[in-house]
Amino acid sequence: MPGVMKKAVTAGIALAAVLSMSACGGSGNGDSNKSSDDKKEITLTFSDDQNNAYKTMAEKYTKDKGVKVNIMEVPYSDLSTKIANAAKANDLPDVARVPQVNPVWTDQLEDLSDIAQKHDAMKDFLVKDSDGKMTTIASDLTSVGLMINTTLFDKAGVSYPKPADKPWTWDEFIEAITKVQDATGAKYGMVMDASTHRERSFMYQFGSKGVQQQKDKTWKLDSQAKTALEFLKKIDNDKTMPKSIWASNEDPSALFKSGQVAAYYSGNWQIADFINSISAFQWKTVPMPAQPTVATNVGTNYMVALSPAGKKFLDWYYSKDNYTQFCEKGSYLPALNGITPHYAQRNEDMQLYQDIIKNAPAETRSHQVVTQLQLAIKGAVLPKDDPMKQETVKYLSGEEDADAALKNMGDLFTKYYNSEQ
Amino acid sequence: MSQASISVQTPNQQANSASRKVSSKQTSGSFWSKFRDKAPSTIMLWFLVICFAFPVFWLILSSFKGADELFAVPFSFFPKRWTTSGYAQAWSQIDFARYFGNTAVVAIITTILTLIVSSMTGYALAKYDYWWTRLFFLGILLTTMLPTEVIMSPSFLVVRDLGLYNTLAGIIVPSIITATGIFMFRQFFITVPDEMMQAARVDGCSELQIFLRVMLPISKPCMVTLAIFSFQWRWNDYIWPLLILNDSKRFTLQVALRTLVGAEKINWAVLLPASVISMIPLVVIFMFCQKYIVGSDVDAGFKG
Repeated sequence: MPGVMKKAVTAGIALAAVLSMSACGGSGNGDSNKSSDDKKEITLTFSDDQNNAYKTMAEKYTKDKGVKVNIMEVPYSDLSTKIANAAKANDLPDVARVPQVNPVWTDQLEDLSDIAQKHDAMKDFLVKDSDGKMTTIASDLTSVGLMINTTLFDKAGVSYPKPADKPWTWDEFIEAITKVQDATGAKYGMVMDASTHRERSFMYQFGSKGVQQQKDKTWKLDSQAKTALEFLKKIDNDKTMPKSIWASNEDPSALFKSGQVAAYYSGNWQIADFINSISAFQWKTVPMPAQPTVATNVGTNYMVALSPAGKKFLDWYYSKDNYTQFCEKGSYLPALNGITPHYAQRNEDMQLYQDIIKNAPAETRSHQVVTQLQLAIKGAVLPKDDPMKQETVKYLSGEEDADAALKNMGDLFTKYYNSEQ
Repeated sequence: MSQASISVQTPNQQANSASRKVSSKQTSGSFWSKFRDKAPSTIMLWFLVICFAFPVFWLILSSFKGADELFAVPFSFFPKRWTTSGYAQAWSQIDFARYFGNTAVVAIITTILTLIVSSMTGYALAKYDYWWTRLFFLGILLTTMLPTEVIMSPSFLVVRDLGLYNTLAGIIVPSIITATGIFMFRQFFITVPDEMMQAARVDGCSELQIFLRVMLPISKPCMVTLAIFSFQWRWNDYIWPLLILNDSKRFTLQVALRTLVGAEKINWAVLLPASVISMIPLVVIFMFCQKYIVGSDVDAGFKG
């Protein structure tokens, strides 16, 4: 019947109109005034906001400068996918905190050299691209560290070094946790994150320089790395350390929180979580073992600006008072020199982490992050599965020996690290 | 959650109705013969209930544990100290009202449009047999062979060029046409005899009236089933909303919940209560529509 037909058509048109209207309503957010310097609205993208530090800074910026900051908090695992898609849609944020730069949008980054210099950013985390532009500044630092269950240590009457003391060696440390295990019946002596980042720090402490480029442009690990690997296999024995961590990705943090483990080789990012989630026992950050090298591996995310207005935000963010407040609020370790945050909780532990970074040899502490950033700036896309972890798992499970594991690591790193050429 | 319950409930009901028939026949039968008939199936069903319900109860009870108790050894099923602090924190940290609103808008509008489009398309493909409708049907079936992830990049470009980027419409429009829904309605309408259409024509109905007044009312079970599934799909959708939406204010619930999963750690004490809260609407819908989901006429669309 024509009447009914007409109604149906009208309804269809009305629906289409509603949809298209809602479409228009949404597109105003992005690039309406992107080109001008003094935008009244910027977008800030990040993930993993500890204690709402970024959100607090965004509010403060609005109060100080009258610029509205739109927050876009994205799940960590999908942050790079998200920003790459935003680039395709020409709707990039003004400022972002990213784990790594991506070739899809590197050419749109602002040069931050003047900001890095003005606010005294730590030199060994700064990288310039081939045009001499410095597009990234570390947002904050993380460091590998050792946390122990002091309730178990005290119960067993085993001592541990204080921050000012001479650090213990790995042999002494293993001896100590074995004593703790024997005296208290703790299930495991230690746990360690099954991660390349922690493994490199472990290798550095055995005097290794990690994965280094050779004269012939290939990448290789040294003999101390072999010593470290063999030591790791020795303690990965289901008594000192559960095999399931490296072999099947068991969560070491959950094991440590259960109170059944004497020590946890992880990093400062655990502190904010442990404050809330551990109440059954006492714990503390202590100096890491040195066999004989005092070392750590530093991790970081990067702040990048994708518009002049974003750069203005970064200039404000890195100014001494604001950045100190940011570090204190989110329990972040500063990436600028001359910043002395005082943390409301676990200040002692956080100071120790800052000392660990300060005292570690510059040559190794920033080697991993800087190498990978340099490659990413050149446009290399690194695989998510790190060769070092893959080969370590194979070695620990007995699939290959230490020499083969090291050779394969070297070959794979050579392949990935030279892929951009 | 609802799927788990479906598979538990369906045999349960069937077994109940079967046993009712048996018991009416054998009212004089001894207790032992009744026991022998019923015990194995009942025990089996209770076993299944426990298997399916255990993880759900574990999640719900764990959401009432404090952060310090989640990993404490020995593990306990019931919280030693009941606390709602996780819920309070989740509620203050995540703007549930906004995300519930966004997700509800997307889920409801998509479901309504999907029902309209699927029922009309399914009807046309079942009752009007031309070579080109068959070809069209084949085309729709082919789309099921490409997973969403494969066509994500081209779909993204299309949605962007249509100006739907960063709008809820950008999530709604690509989800309206689903091959599953069309197929379901087609198979259902094929089982409806053509004589009904002819009778309606004799009575003076136009083609559209046949559809609206005769066919649509009898396809109610099919509609409810598809509505529930469509709502559930959109409620739980994650990756597409993440790509399309670029403004936190427009995020859907699943995208907002994922931000609790960090790089090196997961805030379980907040994530568990937040997940429980996000489940509530689906559970409520399931409770109201249970009879349609577990009813014997669910499979109406799949006879053929």
